[in-house]
Amino acid sequence: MKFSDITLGVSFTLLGLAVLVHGQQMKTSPFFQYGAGFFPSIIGSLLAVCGVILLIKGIRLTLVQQGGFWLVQAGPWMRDRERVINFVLVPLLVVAFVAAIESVGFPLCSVLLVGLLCQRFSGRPLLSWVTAVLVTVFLYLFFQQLMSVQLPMGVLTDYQGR
Amino acid sequence: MDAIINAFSMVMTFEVLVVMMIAALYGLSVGAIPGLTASMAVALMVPVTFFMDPVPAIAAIVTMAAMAIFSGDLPAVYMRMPGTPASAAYTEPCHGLSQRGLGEYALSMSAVSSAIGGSVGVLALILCAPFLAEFALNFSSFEYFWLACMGLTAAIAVSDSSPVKGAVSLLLGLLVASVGLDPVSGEARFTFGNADLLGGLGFIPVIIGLFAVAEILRFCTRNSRAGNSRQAALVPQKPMLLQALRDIFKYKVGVARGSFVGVLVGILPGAGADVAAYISYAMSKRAAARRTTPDEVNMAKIVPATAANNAAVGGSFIPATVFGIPGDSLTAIVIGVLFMKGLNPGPTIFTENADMINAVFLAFLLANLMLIPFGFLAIKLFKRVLQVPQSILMPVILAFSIVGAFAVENTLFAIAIILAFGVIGFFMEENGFPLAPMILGIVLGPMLEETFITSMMRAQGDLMVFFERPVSLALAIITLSLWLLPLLLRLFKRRTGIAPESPAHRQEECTQ
Repeated sequence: MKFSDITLGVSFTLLGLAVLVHGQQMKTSPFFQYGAGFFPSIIGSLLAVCGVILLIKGIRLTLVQQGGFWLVQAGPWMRDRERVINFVLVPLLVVAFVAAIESVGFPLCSVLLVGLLCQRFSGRPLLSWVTAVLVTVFLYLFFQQLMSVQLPMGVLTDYQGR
Repeated sequence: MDAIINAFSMVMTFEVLVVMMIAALYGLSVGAIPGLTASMAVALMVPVTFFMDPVPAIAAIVTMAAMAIFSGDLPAVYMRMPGTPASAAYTEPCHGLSQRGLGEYALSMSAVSSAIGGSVGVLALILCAPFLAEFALNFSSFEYFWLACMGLTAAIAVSDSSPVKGAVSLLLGLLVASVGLDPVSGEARFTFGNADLLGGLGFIPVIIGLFAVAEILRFCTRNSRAGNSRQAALVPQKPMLLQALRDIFKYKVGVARGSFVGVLVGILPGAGADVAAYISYAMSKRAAARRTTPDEVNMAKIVPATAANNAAVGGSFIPATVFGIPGDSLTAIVIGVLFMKGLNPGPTIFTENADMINAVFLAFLLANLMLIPFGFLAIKLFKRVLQVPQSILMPVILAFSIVGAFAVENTLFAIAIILAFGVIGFFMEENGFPLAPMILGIVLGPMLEETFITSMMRAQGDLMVFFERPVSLALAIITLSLWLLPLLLRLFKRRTGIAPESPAHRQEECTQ
């Protein structure tokens, strides 16, 4: 998905101004000449300037090309339903992973995440689920057993080996 | 001498050597897969190094970076798809050679010249860094402020996209770095009442998101079900590994020139291995024309470029270790790891942590020497690496990204960060915003702010003090020329009547 320089210019100008305003509102400590908001205010101002430059570039380009005004362009991949589903599926599954990991536990969540995505991308169920199990076992052994990272075990807590 | 003996004893341990070998195999595999960059390989590896001692951790990263940059040549030679951007300069002639069965020869030469170039880079680092550090001990916050500005400016200047987009990327990086507690006054900023944000956005989840998760999203847009298609059959190659070891002497001048160019380009802030390879390739064209056969002509251009891209890695470590100013995103990640391990980069690292930093340099040298045997192994096993379909690999990378980020930060919030930055990285690249300035902004942000605020306090708001010390003035002149020269050149061109840019060019620039 591509945004025109006009869209990007307006967005970054607004973001820059928001940072500037937020920075200005931060309290200045009586012990320091420059408060916590001083540096972010400079960044915000520069971002707003860059936004305006992008906006001007976008407008000039639109004027050069007749009928060249656009705000957002869908990339070729967005016309392919399969690819859009793949693209949306990744963040959705990650969000579901985060939501479920405490109660369901890492092993099950990891197998489901990897297995579902592999099957969706490759269309080969056996390879996908074998990979999912092997990767999960490796991650569990490496991070939990070797590096002592406490991965949430959820429903499997009682079965966890020590 | 004692320092070198101590460094030897720190590197030549079973743990470090095993870690380096595993990192070498990992780097070779990831670099060989088109689309997976050396930066991504390093980003995924960082959570693992988090749990190691400093020497094996840094040794693992430098070994992996050296291997990944070399193995980027493998798909470039066989499939005309550079595995890493550093191999893009000579993809075309390399592929031409492989079509006639000389791919293995070209790759073996590349392994040997990469090892030589990389070693020259490390030797330059070992020799130059301590001298430069002694000089840098006199630097105050003013000099560091200008150095940070110079590094950040150069990152924008060398990026392929428009300077404005580079600047936006950099500012976004600085903004990300300013989330959390203010380094000077200790007040919370941009946390919006969220306790997870008090410590700032974790560096590791951010880079994993930008490099790994963004790549997975890009994969989704490239393939519907095409990801499982195997690569096309490769042309059978003549076994010529040993021939390459003999023939490298024919190109000794080229290798020396490539290594020298690589080191110099690597030292420049913002220019990395890919720029070094392009410059060296272009410089070798005239010398190569004197060769008799077309194959020799091609090799005379490829060999210096492969030496240059590995030499640049060593070169880029000079400003990184001496000033704490990384040259490219890869070095920026290494700097992040050095900070994480308590080895604060800067001139004092050579006095306070001399043994440790010498051990890191030694490991780096060893990593480059390992390139020859491991490189030869990779050439022989490359076809097997290609048999792993990307449709299986990408979900596995996602699982590693999630667990890696969680392991380091020990909070589920880290997973939210990798997802958010994956989406941000994807949209940035879709719209022509380079990622390198953002990474440098994140790494250099705290240093830039600290040196700027400290300098402002010392100067009591008088900006002229920034130009008073001689070195500070010289650095200021270089930095300001980097900012102003392109604008002045543009004005000059307009005055002299040269058409500034064609609309077509402008359109290309705007829609990048």
